[in-house]
Amino acid sequence: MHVIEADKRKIRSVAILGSGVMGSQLACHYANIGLKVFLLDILPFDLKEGEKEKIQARNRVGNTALKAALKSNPSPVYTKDVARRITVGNMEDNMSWLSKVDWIIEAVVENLGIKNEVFEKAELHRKPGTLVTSNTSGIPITMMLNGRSDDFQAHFCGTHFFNPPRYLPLLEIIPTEKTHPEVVNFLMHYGDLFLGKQTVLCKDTPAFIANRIGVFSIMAIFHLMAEMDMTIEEVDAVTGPVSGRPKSATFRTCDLVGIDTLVKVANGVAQNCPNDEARELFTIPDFLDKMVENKWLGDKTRQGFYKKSRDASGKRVIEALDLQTFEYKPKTKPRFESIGTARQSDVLKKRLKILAKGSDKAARFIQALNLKVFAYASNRIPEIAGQLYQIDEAMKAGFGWELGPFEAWDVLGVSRILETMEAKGEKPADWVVEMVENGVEQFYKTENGARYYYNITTKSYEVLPGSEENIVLDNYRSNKLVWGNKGASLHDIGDGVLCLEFHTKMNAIGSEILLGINKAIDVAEQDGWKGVVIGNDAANFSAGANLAMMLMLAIEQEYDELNIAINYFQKTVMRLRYSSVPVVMAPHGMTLGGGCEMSLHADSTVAAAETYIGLVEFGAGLIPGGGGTKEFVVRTSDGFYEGDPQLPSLQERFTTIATAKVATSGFEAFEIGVLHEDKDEVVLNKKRLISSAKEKVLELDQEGYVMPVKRDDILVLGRTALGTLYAGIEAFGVSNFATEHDQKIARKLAFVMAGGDLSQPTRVSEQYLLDLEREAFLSLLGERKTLERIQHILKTGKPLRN
Amino acid sequence: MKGGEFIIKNQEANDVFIPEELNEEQVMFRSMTLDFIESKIWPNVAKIDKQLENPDMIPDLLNEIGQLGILGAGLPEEYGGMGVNFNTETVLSEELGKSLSFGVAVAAHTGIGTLPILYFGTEEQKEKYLPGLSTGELKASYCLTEPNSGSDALAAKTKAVLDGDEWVLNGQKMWITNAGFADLYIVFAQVDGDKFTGFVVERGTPGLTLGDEEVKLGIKGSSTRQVFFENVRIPKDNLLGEIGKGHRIAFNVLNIGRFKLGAMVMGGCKKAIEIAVQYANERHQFGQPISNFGAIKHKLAEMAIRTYATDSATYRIADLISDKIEELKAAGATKAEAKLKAAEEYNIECAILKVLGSESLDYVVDEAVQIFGGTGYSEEYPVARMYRDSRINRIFEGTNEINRMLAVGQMMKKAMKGELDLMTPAMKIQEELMAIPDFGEDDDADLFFAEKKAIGNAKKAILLAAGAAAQKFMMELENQQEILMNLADMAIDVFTAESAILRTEKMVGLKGEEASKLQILMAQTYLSDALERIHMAGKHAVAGFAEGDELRMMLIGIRRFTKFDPMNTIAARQAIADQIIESNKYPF
Ligand SMILES: Cc1cc2nc3c(=O)[nH]c(=O)nc-3n(C[C@H](O)[C@H](O)[C@H](O)COP(=O)(O)OP(=O)(O)OC[C@H]3O[C@@H](n4cnc5c(N)ncnc54)[C@H](O)[C@@H]3O)c2cc1C
Repeated sequence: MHVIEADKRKIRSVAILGSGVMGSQLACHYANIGLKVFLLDILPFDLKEGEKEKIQARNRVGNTALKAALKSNPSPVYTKDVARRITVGNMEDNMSWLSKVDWIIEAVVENLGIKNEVFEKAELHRKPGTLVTSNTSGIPITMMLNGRSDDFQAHFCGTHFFNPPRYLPLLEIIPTEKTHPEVVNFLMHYGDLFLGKQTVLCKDTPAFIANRIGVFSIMAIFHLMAEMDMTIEEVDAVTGPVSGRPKSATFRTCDLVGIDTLVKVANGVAQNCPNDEARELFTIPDFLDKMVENKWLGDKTRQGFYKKSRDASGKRVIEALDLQTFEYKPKTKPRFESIGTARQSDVLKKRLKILAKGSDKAARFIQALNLKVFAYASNRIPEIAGQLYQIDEAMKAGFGWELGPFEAWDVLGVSRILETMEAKGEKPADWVVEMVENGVEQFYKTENGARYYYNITTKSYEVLPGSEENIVLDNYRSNKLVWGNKGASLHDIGDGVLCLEFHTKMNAIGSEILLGINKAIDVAEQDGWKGVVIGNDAANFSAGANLAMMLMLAIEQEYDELNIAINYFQKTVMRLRYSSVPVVMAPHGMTLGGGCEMSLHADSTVAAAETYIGLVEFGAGLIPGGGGTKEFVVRTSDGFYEGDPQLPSLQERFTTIATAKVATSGFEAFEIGVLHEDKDEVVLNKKRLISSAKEKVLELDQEGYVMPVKRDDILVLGRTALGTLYAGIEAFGVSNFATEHDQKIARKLAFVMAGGDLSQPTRVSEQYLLDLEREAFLSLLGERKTLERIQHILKTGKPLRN
Repeated sequence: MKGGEFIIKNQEANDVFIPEELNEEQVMFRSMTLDFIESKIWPNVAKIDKQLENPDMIPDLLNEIGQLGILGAGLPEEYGGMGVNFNTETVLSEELGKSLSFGVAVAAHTGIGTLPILYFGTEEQKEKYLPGLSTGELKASYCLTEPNSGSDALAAKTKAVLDGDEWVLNGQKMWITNAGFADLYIVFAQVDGDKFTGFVVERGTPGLTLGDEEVKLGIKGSSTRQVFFENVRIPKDNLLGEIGKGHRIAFNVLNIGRFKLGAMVMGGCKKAIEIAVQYANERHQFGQPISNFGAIKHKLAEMAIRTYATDSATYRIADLISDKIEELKAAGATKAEAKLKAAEEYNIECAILKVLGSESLDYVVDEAVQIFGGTGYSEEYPVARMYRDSRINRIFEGTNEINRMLAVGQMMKKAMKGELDLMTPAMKIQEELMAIPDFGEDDDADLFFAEKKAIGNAKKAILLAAGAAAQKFMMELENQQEILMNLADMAIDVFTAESAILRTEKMVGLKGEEASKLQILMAQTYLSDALERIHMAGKHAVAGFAEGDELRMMLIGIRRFTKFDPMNTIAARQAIADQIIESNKYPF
């Protein structure tokens, strides 16, 4: 039997068996990354006589599922045409396709018998060497080996994606004893690099890692809240972002996941883990049973712990379940001093410490919960995971915890927590006690940008896998900054490359960040650095320019100051391109307005697949004023060949801005003209973003980067374009697609994009366009309706149409 | 309005008490006291100051004023006092404030000397001492400060050890007013090393000796000496209050003390203005009275404006304390308890009044000297003495720095305890900053509409700066003294300006706009200047910790919240001065 080495294995096509929610979503995601995907499901049960011959009908199950997936929100595909890579078939007629694929992915129902049948059929067609994985969240993988050939067994492995797989970053990899190490290596690597997932190696134990710990935490919360007599709103207040857990906190998460699923996982652990010291905690509380009975399963049945409804006056209200009376009551907003104090800090580590010192109910609750979760996690090694970091990574990627249990424990002090555990009767694992006795006080340490974890087998620190190739800015914090201010930090990320990190609220771009960019480029130019990466590890790259600041200045009618500020913004953005070092942007998540304008200008943009980027200024009653409008004109002019009509392409770009279009993925950003094939690229795994951007800087430097020549050859159309664009705006107004104010903004935009009221097409400079752009921007800031839009966005986060 | 609440709440003019509303009885007390001062003190000020030659003058005068009942005016009738209400006590303080060194002796006796027994004494102690204190037969002093513990009062080293039935005191006190002739010494000492505790020590107790009279910058007539305790044995029963609770005595007594000091210096301002304007009307240069000159008018007007504002603030709080006393009494508290609790409730305002009054007086006497020119520098004329005597007020009863920190600190403490909701209004301000004002005209039909809006806004400026500072420094804010000073200055100014506006508004209601037109100008001028100061202090404060956009946004906010339409303050001050010049005294 031959198993090829992990780094030699090539994947071009996959077959997915089963087109349920996970199967069809997976099909989309494999297609997202460019693979040919075959999606097979069973024949429909209700196949009518006349249909039996029709392929369409025979593939109905898969087709319907795929269609539903493509329609689901958020979308499983990066761009619409991805779906063309998926071919639907059925498991009666098309099993022979399995002989052509490189990887067979089983995603049929969670039933061992059925799974084994499918494998049996698959083995008939599978060519030796083809990977086979089973996607399951509960069934022991080893039980699927029965009757399989050696080659199959060696190439077989369990995987556990979280739904929806495009968006949830965790991928648990569960090998059996028979799985060949090269196969495991391959999956760990491929999942990370190509599927963009955080891969975590798990043991084949019930619920694997994330669900085991996550559901334990939920069950512990149920018990604690009963003990401390707390409501679900109170628990959610403290188990949300303030303590480093997701916004959906505990009970919204339960509703999202489904109460029945939760019960299933908890029961699974209770039944299959007789030696779990906390087994009792997994006993389903009465209220959960009752909820399942009532079919209050969460979002899928439209009511769970919370319920959306309308009050007497018809207003939408959210109600919360009172676990005492079992009635829904209007959701309350509990207030706790400890939470109030903690919230004042943006830094989770600080918040955790504040909560650890608090003495009100919320603080005591989280303190007690932490002890339980920390102790439980420690006792799960080596049972479910070989090393502690695997648990942390699974929890972060799978449950959206900002810090894993061991990381949080580090923050609160390992030995201090041990003492408290002792006092409160919680029993941590012996290895932790032993570790501290041997003088090791931290589960992790950071040195020179690399992160080390405490290996419980060798009892020493070892480099965290991936920490050397992936750049995590957090690991550089202990190093001396090259430069920094309140809004931005300049890190030395090695090999002569600098990284400018934003850290304002929502990474809004204000004077500190602008100063930071200028400074970063100055330093790089003067001190011989190879180039600059602009990137960060925050949830979003940037929400755009600091609108609050602009609003306040506009209210005070400080137009001179505004003019200076916008001019500075434009100059800074231009610096991104016109400097003697390469500057590479690394956007991810929300990258809006000013953030997008920066990406437009950088020498290269290396974007995460999950990048939502666009020029959204229209929503704020403005036009892109940081060079964004200008850059769209430049790109139109550059894309235009002698003799081509330029107007349609200008119109298209005009519409992109006027509809405030935001790309729903890095790939789509190319389609809307924000990213550019010649200079930009996409990276699947966000964790690799900064290291990839750094590679890009080095590559540009290697190629002998020189500053581009300033442009004065941009062709603008003047009145010809203006007339057409104005007419279009008019039409939109007449058909009520655009409000008065929309039309006003659109006319300003048209004026800039046409290059002004020129009598004939003319070649102009970038500065000419920037001046037009700034003038239009400023004049809009004198409009009350624009100010109202800005205010609305600041207040609600949503655009206002007025 | 609760203590400290002025920072978030706008009081209605009708709810404030103004000095114009003092009743006949109070006016009678005022003139009785003033008569005494004019006839007995002012003719003798030079003699009184020569204390070493005339050591009995002040004690004798105390006996005399005691005969009038003034020393015991505020004490309950059952202890030989007159039980007058708090507003009347305030009137008395105001007038006594015109009596220089003598006023200091009275204040030390009736305030910090007597109140510890009234508030914390046992029934026996009260019966034993209060009747004598009330007539002046017994004279009291208060021994807190030591050579090494002034502002840091609780660090006192004087020790008290229980030995059988007696306490044995050892230690040294310093700067003790009335020490030279006092019959009773309220003494603070540590029991068991760190239990700060109050005691009553009688004159003549063996081991109690006095240092020489201090040679001082001012209030030279007031006796100030060190007091030494060397194995001073006093009966066990002379313990005052509880062991280890001395700080409660010290601080609570100071609340009332500060309020009264504020009232006294305000009276001093009025006296100084009178003396200054009389001189300005008489003194001729360039062929005309110097009061004709704009520069002098400016001074006279500003002296009056500050006095008017301080006066307004003083009676506003006097009445709130007075109401609180009545409320507490109605709820079953004894008179003494009620007074103590009421002053504690308004401890922020008491601290503010102390700072405000003492600094107003320093300004007023300084300008008085200036109006006097060369004669201002001469001992032949009264203003040199007033100038010197004023200065102590910024130092004792807690230095003005300590009082500023106390005012802000208490405010924050109340917010933490949930007694004062600063959070909700602070959040609203954030929202308001992002709100688009309707660029239209204000509905300024009401007199004082603009002023009240400006005051409401100025409070927002304070909350903005204070909120940001609290968020930035959290518990560390108490160590950011410069910022605390700025915040205190802002609070003092807004509180004072508001008091002046409210008083004037009420007066307009009572007497009509025409009769109040100068008061209107005084209140407006004070407010206009105060807003500039608040702006500046706010700017300093936030620039001390914020930077970049955050700073810029806060500065825009502070500026917006301290805006006021420009007014012709020159014309306003001229009109005010003309009235002072015409009446030849402080006429408001
Ligand atoms: C004429 C006179 C009469 C007095 N009568 C009495 C009396 O009858 N009974 C009595 O007990 N005491 C009396 N005192 C003492 C008076 O209360 C103290 O002088 C006063 O409290 C200041 O203490 P100090 O002199 O030790 O100055 P310090 O405490 O040494 O202060 C010096 C300076 O440092 C500042 N300072 C001190 N601490 C701080 C801090 N934490 N933060 C910022 N600044 C600070 C002060 O504001 C001041 O500006 C009298 C004093 C005088 C001069």
